[in-house]
Amino acid sequence: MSAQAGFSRRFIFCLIVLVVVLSACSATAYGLWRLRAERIDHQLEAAAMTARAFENHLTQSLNVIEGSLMSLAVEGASPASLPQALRHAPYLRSVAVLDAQERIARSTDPRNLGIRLPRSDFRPEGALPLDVLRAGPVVSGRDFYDAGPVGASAPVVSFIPVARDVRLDDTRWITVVASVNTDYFLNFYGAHISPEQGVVELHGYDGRLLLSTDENALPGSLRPGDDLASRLAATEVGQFEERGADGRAMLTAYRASRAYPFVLSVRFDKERVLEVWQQEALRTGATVAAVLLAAMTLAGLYFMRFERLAREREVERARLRIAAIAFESQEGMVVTNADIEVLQVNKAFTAITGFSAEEVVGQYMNFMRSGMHDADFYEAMRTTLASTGAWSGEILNKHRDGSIHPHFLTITAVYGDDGRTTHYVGTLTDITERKRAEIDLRIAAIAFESQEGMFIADADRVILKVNRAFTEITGYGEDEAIGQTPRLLRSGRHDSEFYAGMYASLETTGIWQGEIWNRRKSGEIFPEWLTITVVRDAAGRISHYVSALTDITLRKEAEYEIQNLAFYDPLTRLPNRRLLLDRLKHVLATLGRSQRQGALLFIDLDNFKTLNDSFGHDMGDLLLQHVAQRLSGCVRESDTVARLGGDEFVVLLDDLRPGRQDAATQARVVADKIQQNLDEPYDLAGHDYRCTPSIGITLIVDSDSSCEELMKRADLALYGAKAAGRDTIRFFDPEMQEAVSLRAALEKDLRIGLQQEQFVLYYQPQVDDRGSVIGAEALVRWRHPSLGMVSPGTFIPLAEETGLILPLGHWVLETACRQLACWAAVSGREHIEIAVNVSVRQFRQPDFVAQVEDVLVRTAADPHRLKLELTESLMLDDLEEVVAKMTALRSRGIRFSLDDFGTGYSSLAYLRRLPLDQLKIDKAFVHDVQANPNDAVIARSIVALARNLGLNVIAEGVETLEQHQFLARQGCPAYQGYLFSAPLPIDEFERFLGGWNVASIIRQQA
Amino acid sequence: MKRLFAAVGCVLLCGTPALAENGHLERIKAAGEVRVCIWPDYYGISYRNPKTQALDGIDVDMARALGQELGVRVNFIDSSFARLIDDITQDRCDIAMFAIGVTPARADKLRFTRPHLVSDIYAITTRSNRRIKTWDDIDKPGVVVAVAKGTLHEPIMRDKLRHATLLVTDTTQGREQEVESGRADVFMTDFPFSRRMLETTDWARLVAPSSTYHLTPYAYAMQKGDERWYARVEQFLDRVKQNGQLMAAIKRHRLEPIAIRAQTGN
Repeated sequence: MSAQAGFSRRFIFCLIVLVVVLSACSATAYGLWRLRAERIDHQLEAAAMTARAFENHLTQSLNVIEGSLMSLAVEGASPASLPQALRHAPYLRSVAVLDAQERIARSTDPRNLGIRLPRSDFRPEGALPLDVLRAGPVVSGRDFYDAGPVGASAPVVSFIPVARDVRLDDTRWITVVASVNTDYFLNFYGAHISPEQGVVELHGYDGRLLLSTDENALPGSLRPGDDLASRLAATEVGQFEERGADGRAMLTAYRASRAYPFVLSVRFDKERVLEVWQQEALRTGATVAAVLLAAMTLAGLYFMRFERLAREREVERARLRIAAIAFESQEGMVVTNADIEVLQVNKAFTAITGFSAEEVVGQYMNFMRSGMHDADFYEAMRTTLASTGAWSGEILNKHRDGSIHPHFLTITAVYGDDGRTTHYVGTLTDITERKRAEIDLRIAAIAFESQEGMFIADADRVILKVNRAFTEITGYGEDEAIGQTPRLLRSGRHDSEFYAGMYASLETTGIWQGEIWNRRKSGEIFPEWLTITVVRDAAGRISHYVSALTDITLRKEAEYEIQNLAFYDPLTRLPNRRLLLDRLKHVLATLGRSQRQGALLFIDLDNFKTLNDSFGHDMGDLLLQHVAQRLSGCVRESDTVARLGGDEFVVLLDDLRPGRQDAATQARVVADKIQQNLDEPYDLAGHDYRCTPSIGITLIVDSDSSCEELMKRADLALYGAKAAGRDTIRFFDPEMQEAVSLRAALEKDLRIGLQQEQFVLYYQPQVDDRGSVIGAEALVRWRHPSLGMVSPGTFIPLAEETGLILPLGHWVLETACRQLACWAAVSGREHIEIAVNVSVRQFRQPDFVAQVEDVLVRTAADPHRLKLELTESLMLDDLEEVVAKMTALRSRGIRFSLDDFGTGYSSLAYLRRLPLDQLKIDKAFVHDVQANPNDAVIARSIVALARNLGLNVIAEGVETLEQHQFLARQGCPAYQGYLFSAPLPIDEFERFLGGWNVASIIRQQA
Repeated sequence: MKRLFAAVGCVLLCGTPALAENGHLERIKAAGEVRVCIWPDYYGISYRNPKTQALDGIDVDMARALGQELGVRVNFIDSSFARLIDDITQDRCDIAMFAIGVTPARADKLRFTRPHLVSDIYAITTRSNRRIKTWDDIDKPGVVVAVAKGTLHEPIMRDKLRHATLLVTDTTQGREQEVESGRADVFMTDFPFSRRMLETTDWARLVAPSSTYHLTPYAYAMQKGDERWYARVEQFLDRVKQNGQLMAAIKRHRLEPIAIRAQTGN
């Protein structure tokens, strides 16, 4: 119902009330008006009746008076009879008899005697006696004796004289008079009509007033405007309304006496008459008003009640509508009866649980039981519901699909008027998300208190929250940091552009991370890894900044360490290959822009391997450190000295003068300086050590060249330097490049040569002091198909590098043993021994002993004729194992010779432990044995050492007689060299054996 | 009327000789009746309803009570104030019981019981009389005041009036006629009679004195000299006063305004 309807209803109600009130008022008014008219009519009637009654009384009274007077006259009017006439006649004051002179002759009151009553005073007039009662005007006074005219005011006492002519006989008449007591009539009238009710008046027939109950009325007067006379002319009886002299409305009725000349009028005061009506009208009005009021009040109350009910209905409907709307809210709702049978569920309920209304209405409200709660839980729920009328809490419910979800459930009991539960209303929300969010929050809270420093700032970058780690890292407590901006932490190391960039990044990408230097509360500046993430509100505006910071001081240190490791050589603290390459790239890049040039110097220490082999790695490392220092001292600050590994150093020269020649010259100067410096002796833990470098140089002139290419070129230059005899400086040149290529091809050929047996053994004879050939050293030679004979100095290192030395060595051993076996069967050659070179790599093979035995077995060679030549570098290996292998082989009769003795770093202690048979004096010592006294000393010492150790000695590289003689003088027992023979193929060697004559050789020499 | 004459006759024939010898009480016992003089026009006191001829009034009740106490019949003898003294002294009745005003003249001749009523003088005029409005209008020149001959009012008014004319009528009816006809303005009477006028006529109007004018106690009268009779009556009166019979009668006849309460209280 709308307000308009309510208004309309009220309007109609008011209209009805108005109509009813108007109708009632009209009816009442009409009734009252009718009543008034009736009252007036009735009172007019009453006046008329009263007038009639009074007229009747008057006429009868006059009749009696007339009768009395007539009987009095007939009785003779004796004095004695006179008083009798007054008995029982209160209407008479006196009676009298007139004499002929119209004087009172006799009277009941003697005071009246003699008073003349003229005939003319009486009406009807007549000079002659009349047979009717005649009346005079009203006279003031008690009786004739004090009669006086009516004055200006109403008389206190008055009477009306009346006369009767009574015929005594035909001629005689007697006139009898009486004074009529006016009070008698007034008493009579007054007894019936109170002065307040109205006025009764007696008029003469001429209309003159005779008596009036109104004490103020003046008898004898004609009332002004009184039309009684004219009315009488029309009718003797009448009634009408008139207005009195004083203006009062009067209801008047008049009636003329039917026998006497008197008229009676009765006037009722209309106002007075209507007083009753007025009272009645008032009463009626009041009653009607009261009834109306009561009725209206009742109606009003009823209407108000109706209105209230209507409003309540409306409120109820609205409530129901709201309830219906509320029922279809986002919350799932279910209504059950008191027996928890489902009556209704809403859409949200279905949406949440999957149960539709059709499925669950009429069911007991236990279809969602998950089984996750025990009976006590439901019992507690029932108890709470019964006591408080409501229950709310979290409950695990099962959805239609069987999944179990946490719900927040509120159950409210609905009570009827009798206070009993009529329904239950359940409201549930699926709080799975909320629970998840709670967990997320908890996680977030814990995460916030992580080891990582965190702080949250608002859009104005005012810090709102910090965690403990923040305090630990920055030193600022929560109370100090909150309310501040991150400016608090500024170190001053970053310019405003840095921060502008940071915020620009945050604005555009929503995140910034990077290293930043901040200042702790203590003032210490530290590096931190800062991640700032922007939080935006629903409108997309930045609402918060979440910053996570990590103190990376330690990491920076570690990083520095790692960088050192990655880019620097730990031993020498020089840049390593990687850093070198970096710098090289950098140089290459800058070269492109400038005219400057650079150079790359590869430096290798000559015979470093030997130092290592001889004195151990510690010494080697020491040397390398010294070299590094010296190298660093040779170059400018901007240049780079790097160590690639082992004894390989690189110097990168930057910023050389333009022009290829100038640059080369400059590089050469540096290289010379390096060479000179490195040539200086080193103090290695008290040992004076000399070492020479080989230096390969390549100029960096071509920015197109790659780093690899440049490195390769420098390496090749170094190779060239080495090849050029060490302690040499070589520039890279294309020929050298070619040589390298050649070497690669050679390696390939080497493999093929092994397969195709292109190798042959040459034998160089070994002779004793008497000149007899006692044996030979087997030396391998490569008969290349296209190159011809290839020098062992060329392919042996190659074979060593490539590992081909193993099959090659094996082949050499086997070939030599086979030759021994051959010679064993030939008379005169059965004593010849063969010395076979065994490379370190070969000897290191775990199965080397087995291999040798196998070869011996297969070739059936005599082990006593086999001599294996080892180098000093072998002693750098596991000495025990070396000794074991040697002992094993020696037990088979094989003997060992230490090759190149004197060049390596041999420990005499080792020398003693090794089961050696022979020392071989290196040809270097032999070569200068005459020119260099040192070498001579060495040679002599070696011979003496061998003798003292019980070892054999042989000198190799003996080319001259002088050398032979010197060595012979020193007591050297065996020789090998070109003095006797070059290495010879087997057939030539065998021919040599046949034609050998020591004397001839010596002779030749001589 | 017949009974009246019979009663009078009885008194004349039988009463007198016994009186001298034995007193009224003995005579009453002997005769079996008590003769009570009443004025049958005395409304409320001893009034004979002309329509029924039944007697009614306080003293009629008292007389009957007296008769009952004496165990004799009550013979009501009609009397009047004009004849009262004669009727008593000539022993026409044993007692006069009609509220007799105790005046010096009467007391001189009669023996009164202790009074039980007391009345002032009241005037009756006509409704329409314009001369008399209040009591003070009465004693004015030109005003005619009527009194009945022999009533206690006659000497009182004769004594009291200074300006008004006193008109003495022979009968009580006469004074009423004089007033009604307008020949007199007022007549004087007592409380019980004035009540009768107001109740039985439609013209009478009461004019009460503005203050106490002249109080007259009313009592019963009997012959002087018969003490035993008097004592017996007094004894009766004491009894009816004591037992409330008298007061009940006063109330019954609406005469409380003139009851002598102090005495009834005893």
